[in-house]
Amino acid sequence: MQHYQFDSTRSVEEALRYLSEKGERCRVIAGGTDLIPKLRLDDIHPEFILNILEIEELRGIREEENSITIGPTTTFTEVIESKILSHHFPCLIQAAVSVGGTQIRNRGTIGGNIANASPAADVLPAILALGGDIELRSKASGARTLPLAKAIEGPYRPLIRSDEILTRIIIRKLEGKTRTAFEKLGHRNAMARAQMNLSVVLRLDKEDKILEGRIVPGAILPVARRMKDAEKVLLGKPPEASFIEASVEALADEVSQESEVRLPEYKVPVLKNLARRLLKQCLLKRFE
Amino acid sequence: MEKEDFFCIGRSVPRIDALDKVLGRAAFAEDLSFPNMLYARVLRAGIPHAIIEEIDSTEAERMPGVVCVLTAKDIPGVNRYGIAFQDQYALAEDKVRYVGDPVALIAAETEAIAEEAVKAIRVRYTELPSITSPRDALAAGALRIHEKGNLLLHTKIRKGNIDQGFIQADVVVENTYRTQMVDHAYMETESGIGMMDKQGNIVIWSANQCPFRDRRQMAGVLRMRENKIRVIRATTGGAFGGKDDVTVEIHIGLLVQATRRTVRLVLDREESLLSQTKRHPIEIWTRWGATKGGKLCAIEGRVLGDKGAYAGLGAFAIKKCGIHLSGPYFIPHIKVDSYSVYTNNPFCSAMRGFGVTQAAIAHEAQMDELARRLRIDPLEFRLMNALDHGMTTATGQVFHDGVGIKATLEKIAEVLSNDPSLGKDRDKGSTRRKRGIGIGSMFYGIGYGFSRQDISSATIEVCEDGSVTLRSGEVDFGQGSDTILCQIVSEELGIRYDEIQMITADTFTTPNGGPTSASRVTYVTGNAVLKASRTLKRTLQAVAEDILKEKDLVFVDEEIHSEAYPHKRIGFKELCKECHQRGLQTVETAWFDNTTEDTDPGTGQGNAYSAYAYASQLAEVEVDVATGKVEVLRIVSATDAGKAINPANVEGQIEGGAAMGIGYALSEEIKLEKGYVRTKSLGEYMIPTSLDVPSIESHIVEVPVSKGPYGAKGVGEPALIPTAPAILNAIADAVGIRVIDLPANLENIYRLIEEKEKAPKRER
Amino acid sequence: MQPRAVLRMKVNGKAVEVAVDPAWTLLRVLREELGLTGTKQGCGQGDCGVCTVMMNDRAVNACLVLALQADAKEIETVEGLGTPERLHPLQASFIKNGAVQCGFCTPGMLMSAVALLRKSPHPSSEEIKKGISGNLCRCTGYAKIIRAIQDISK
Repeated sequence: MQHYQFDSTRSVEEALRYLSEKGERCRVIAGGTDLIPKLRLDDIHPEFILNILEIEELRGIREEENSITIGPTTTFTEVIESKILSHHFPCLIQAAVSVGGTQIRNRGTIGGNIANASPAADVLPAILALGGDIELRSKASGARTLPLAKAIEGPYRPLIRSDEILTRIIIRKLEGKTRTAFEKLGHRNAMARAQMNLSVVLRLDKEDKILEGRIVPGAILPVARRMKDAEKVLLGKPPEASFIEASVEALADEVSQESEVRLPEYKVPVLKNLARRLLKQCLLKRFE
Repeated sequence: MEKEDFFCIGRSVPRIDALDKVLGRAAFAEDLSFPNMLYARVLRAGIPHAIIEEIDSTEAERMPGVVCVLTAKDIPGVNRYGIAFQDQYALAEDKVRYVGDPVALIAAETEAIAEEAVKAIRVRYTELPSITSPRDALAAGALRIHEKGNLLLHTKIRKGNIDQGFIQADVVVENTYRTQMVDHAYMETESGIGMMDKQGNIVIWSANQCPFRDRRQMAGVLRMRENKIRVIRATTGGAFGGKDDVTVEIHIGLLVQATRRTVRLVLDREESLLSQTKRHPIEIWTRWGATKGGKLCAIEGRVLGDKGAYAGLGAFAIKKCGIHLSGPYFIPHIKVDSYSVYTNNPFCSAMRGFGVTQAAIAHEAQMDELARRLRIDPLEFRLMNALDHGMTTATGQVFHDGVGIKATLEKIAEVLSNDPSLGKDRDKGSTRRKRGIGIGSMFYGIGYGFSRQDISSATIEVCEDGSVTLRSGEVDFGQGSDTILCQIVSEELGIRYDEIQMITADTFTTPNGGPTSASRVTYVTGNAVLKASRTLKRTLQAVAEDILKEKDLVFVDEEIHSEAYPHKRIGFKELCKECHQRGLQTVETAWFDNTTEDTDPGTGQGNAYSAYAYASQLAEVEVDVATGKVEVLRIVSATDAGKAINPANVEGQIEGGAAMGIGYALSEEIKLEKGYVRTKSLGEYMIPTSLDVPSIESHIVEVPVSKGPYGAKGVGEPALIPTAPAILNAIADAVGIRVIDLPANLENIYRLIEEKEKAPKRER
Repeated sequence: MQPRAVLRMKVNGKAVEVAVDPAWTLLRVLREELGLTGTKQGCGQGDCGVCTVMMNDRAVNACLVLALQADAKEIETVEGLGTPERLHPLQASFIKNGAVQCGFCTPGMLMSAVALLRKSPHPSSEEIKKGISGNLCRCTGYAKIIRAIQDISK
């Protein structure tokens, strides 16, 4: 049984004031697609729930000169419908499309996906691959910005203090020739928790040599992160199958080493196959 | 047979219940509410096998808003029930046998209070070792789950001489198939609402498949006469066998009796997944022999069914699995033993297909494997061995009409020949995505067979003003039976089907239709309705003949006219008025008895069923060898419905059945761990979404069975049974792997592909 | 019992004011407080879509909206779509095309279809499938539902 006081606010300042008082006893709600099931199953018992969906400042997608800012209460549907995001970050769109079904996408938010920090999240790894930063604000400390890569401590444990709200997601525009890809594997084609997903972002030079590569598998490690060994293999290399293969092998080693828990047998081989597929898709004109 | 140009039969008329449903005003049990209503909640065991030492409900009883807490000691009647075997307890007495066993009932003023109160009941258990596989249950010295022992039922088929059979075989294929536990996953969970009326009758509206049987089960437990219990079927949101057993009815009855107030009980999804009946996981070991000329000569099999904690209807499902293990083919020598074994897993009962769904997984895989070994085309191989008129089934029964398996296979062959590219190019998708096609065929005994009571009845009343009421005890839970039955009346009497007042499934006002299951309603209740219609028609006809002074009258378009002289006519309404004024009886009740004789218990031989339905499907799949993901690209279905009374209805069943079959083949599984249910939501229990189901091409093949109304048979279960086998055969065609453990999900497929890659190349 | 708060919203064009327990969801308010039982409950946590309603022109699962989050919003449910005398074209199409079997998913399915057609009046069959991918159906296999929606959008 739930006994909480529900409050709604239109202002970030008011929200921060509220959280500075109620902090630990309060849960912030946006789309509610993760929070409401927890309330229903009595997993959590907050004393207060603060609805931040009415705060205009937390919505919207804005293009700056070098970066794009996404409000945390932007829904997955709004992400998908955004021309700015489609143009600059196609893999983010693909990740958002893969979440749930229409109704979930109409309520679930990009900030919620980050704040929930599920190991099976779809959008969070895509943002990691894009090198996103998040801005957190509190009444006590004002604003702080940190890379998303440094913001998740463990499964369901984002480094967001109880008096803080996630206020912006900032993604730097990709310079030059870029290729992005995303694929999700699930037991059915909609409404499925990821068995595995993979986000790939590559920047290429004029000769298609790889300037920078970012590879982020999701739903395989407790916390998604860039696979630096696999990425390093590709640096400076031309787009050739042999280097892709070497990168895929490095990826497999990196994932296997990191995992404290023994991974189910199929996960690493399938991840290799996915990585090979996405890298070829990005790099080779003809691929299987 | 029957005249072929029908007035209403064979037309895809819109369903009579569709209007209310699209308006959102169809009243499902959870939609009904009464003032001063109480909300019920069930405390479930949460532990698979344990002795109940003590139940302390004092805290719960003290909670404000809690009106009533009941445990086994409060049961007024006999705390035992069960449709086939009385092995089930309304509330657990000395022990609990599976995690969903009901231990206590609460009725409270609000749902939230009821939920809280349930958590406040303290039960002290002494845990017992839990038995979670039939093998463990049958092992010597295994703990008894029920006093009578863990083997509930052993049935046999002994046809011919099995040793002789295998001597003739040039090729033998042997495999052990394991099917998974599956849930009905209807969108509406088990729900009901009950009250006591002013005469002291208990009245219950629930989502059920047989109000009469539920009433019977309730009476003993409540210590009430059956005629004081009224069970009414509320609009039911899907059943598929899961609402065949008692679900909420006895619990509601107990609480209504104790509180004398209205009580609503709606199971939430987690509870439904945890505690309500499932499809049996079955392990089927089977060995098939064929001659090098391609004739099946011997089948041996052992069907080991995980019954779970209670019998429900399930022993018959496992028996039916064994009977159908040989498939729709002629085999002279068959030896099958089927075992229903208790375990501490969730109990399994009826689910669409009733054991044949599992049998078909085995028989269709065996057929393809044999065909491969014999180097005969799988479709050809099936045609060579298909049952036909005059041949004996596995139980030695011979039919002289209605054996439509060949017709369904020929239809598939026709589709294949019209689309020459289908199944020819494995690499059509790409080298990483392989395509393949597969066939699944099946037959399904309609009704209950084996001398189990299989009767239905219907009453038709024609009022003075010509309006007609049809009363029948069967349940339409979405399969469209209400509409079909109205179409039959419409056909016979020439009136509009949608103006018939259809009253169903109410133990106070309708005759007993028998349960709605076993794909029997069109056949059994349909026959009862047909009989009643024709009797009434004779009465009306006699009066019309007298008035018109003509014989050879036709009932059509709401009038009766002479066939030879159409201007000699009388309107239906006029005729009814005349009949009433002549004091004639215009209410007719008819029965149709589909009960068959029992078969020999030692050999299983006899006339087991009065009719079988037949179907074949073709599936085309694409397997992503990189990930193990299987996409179903296309399904072609050829179903022998005897006669499709409403073709759109039949298509709807086929399309829905195919979707359910896709889930069965590829993604659905209730995961168990030592008796605990690990699948807790519809997010984890994955049924196909709209993006998982391809276009389904349905062909209705009509091979009329003379005993069916207009030659019709049932189609509900035949629609589902061929799909998973066809998909599994298509996967084998695409990537050369044979799935023997279901479901064929990502991990399973990927592992099998890897194993095949690593295995040394061997002669196939 | 918790102190109630007041929820003010529009439902099917009519302004309503209800005292709610903050723990309630919009689904609970619609069904139990407003008697609009057309919207169904199937799983309580957004897995099935039978509780789909329109909220400010978007299809959402009413079980995943806290009651007070619906404040000042415009809700549309199946009851607002049509009447027996004047069915919404989708409702008529569902009947005509045999898209209704048990009927439990039907209200939610209709609302998702309405939402889809508002944004995309002539959707392809693939778009329709995507549009209803959050609505589970166990009876029909989706085929006739898709056809019913296509029938309207031609």
